[in-house]
Amino acid sequence: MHWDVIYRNIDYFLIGPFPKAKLPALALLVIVAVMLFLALRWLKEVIHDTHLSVVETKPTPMQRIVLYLGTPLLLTGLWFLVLEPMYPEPLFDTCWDAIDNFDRLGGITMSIILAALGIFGAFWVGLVVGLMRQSKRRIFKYPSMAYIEVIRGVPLIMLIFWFFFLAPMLLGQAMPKFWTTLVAFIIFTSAYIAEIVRAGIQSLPSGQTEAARGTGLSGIQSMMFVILPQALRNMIPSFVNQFVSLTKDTSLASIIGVNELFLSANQVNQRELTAPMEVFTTIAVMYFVICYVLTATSRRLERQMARYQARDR
Amino acid sequence: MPDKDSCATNPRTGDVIVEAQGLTKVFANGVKALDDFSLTVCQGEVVVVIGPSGSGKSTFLRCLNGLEEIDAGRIVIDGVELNHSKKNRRAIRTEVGMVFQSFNLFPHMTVLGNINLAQELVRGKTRGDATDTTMALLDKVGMAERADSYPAQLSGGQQQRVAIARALAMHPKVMLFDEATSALDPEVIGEVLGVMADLAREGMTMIVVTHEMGFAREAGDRVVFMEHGAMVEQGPVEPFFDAPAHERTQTFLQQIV
Repeated sequence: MHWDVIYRNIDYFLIGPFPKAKLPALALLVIVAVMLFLALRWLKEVIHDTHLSVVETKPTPMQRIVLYLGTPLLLTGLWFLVLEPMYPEPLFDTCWDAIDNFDRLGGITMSIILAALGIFGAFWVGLVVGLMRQSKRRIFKYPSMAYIEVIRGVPLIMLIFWFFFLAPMLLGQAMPKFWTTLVAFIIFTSAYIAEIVRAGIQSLPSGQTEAARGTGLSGIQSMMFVILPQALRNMIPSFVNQFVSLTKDTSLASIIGVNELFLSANQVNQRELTAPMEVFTTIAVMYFVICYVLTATSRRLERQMARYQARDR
Repeated sequence: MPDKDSCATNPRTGDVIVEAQGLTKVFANGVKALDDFSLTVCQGEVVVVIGPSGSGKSTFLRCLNGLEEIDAGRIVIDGVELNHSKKNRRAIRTEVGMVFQSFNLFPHMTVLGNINLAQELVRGKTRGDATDTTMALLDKVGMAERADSYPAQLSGGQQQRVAIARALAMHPKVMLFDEATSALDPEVIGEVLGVMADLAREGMTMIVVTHEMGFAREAGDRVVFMEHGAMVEQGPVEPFFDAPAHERTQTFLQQIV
């Protein structure tokens, strides 16, 4: 057994060929992103102090101003007053350096980034396509039906190749491989998400729409405040299925040379040649951990959203 | 058959508020749910619609609210015609409150949220104003202390009382009750009928589809008997129940009373 191979190459599994000298800059970027996220969440909680029903989260105009002006102000303050004095080198250049080396990032980090952006994009695109599919207007309905049928009828690997060769023809220059695969992932998964959205909406009793429209809500209002909040909750298990399989499918990005976990592992394997079993066992565990975190998070989310459900049902 | 004149001469009622003429509705499967059905309702009148199942009672109510499209005929509610104009349709829906057999409360919102929703989104009220109205209505239907409960935590009778409050929150000119007590346990039917009878006493215009003949006698002004999507007979409550003119009405009443 040659588990020392894993030990020696663990950095390659984690970040791929990313230059180690730029790691602090990358860490800084992550910290800034986390701070941005926390600041937004904190502001949101300050504003929406009650969260019992959907409408109760509607901020007043004054609160809107605080949110939209306050957040950028807070972040600029953090940057210039806290981070800039603390960091030894020019902060902007350092961060830009990390972004500039983004195409050298690989390993599990790249897999996670691909999966996260793919899930985010596929959710929104799929939601829009799914709602269009539900529309009575032909101009929305038929294009979305064609989109869903066509995309579901082709293999993902073919879509990746197709975009890889199509993008240069359309744009006149090669599209970065990372973006090529990301677009393919989003388009592929969104077709499935759209069908989940349609099924989720159809599974709600029609009385919900009738009660909403009957009190004078517009179609969009009843969708936003009555139908979607309930339907999305029911869709979570199907979404998770789709997202887990997308996470594993990120390994297909390796065929056009995106350096993610699978490609990194293969590179290590071919460099060492002594420990294929150990290398592929390691990435199997890594993929499993990512997917497990995903399912565990969704279970928590589902429980949170189920708080209103019947105790006896 | 009441018209403009009889509405005006009846001391208990005001002007004509609901005018339905020659309504015809054929479902996609070929079933004729409404067959040239006409009804005029005066302001403040309580009309009880009865008839065997499948006679088109519910379809009639759903057409009044624009939930079903009519294939022929004309509906005018408080001077606004229900047609293809989206503006009219929405105006009528806000002026007409509907209570369903299956309550149809929004399960992801509290009682308060359920009743506030349309007030805020349609009437543009602030949270505070909407909550004031909501609490007053909940007090009226005896549900004030359950404002923060979710529908699933309430009994059927309580849910239906909340649904009535939700419809009332838009200050409708007409209330439609579509078998509001049919899905309830026998012992809680009374609490819902009580709320409905209170409303009738306060002068609300109501069209009530029900099998509760006791309620019809107590709170109704007029009874309409429907079969196969058409009107068989109608008349003031007392003579209708004591001496129905039509043979079909007689057999129907014998069966259910």
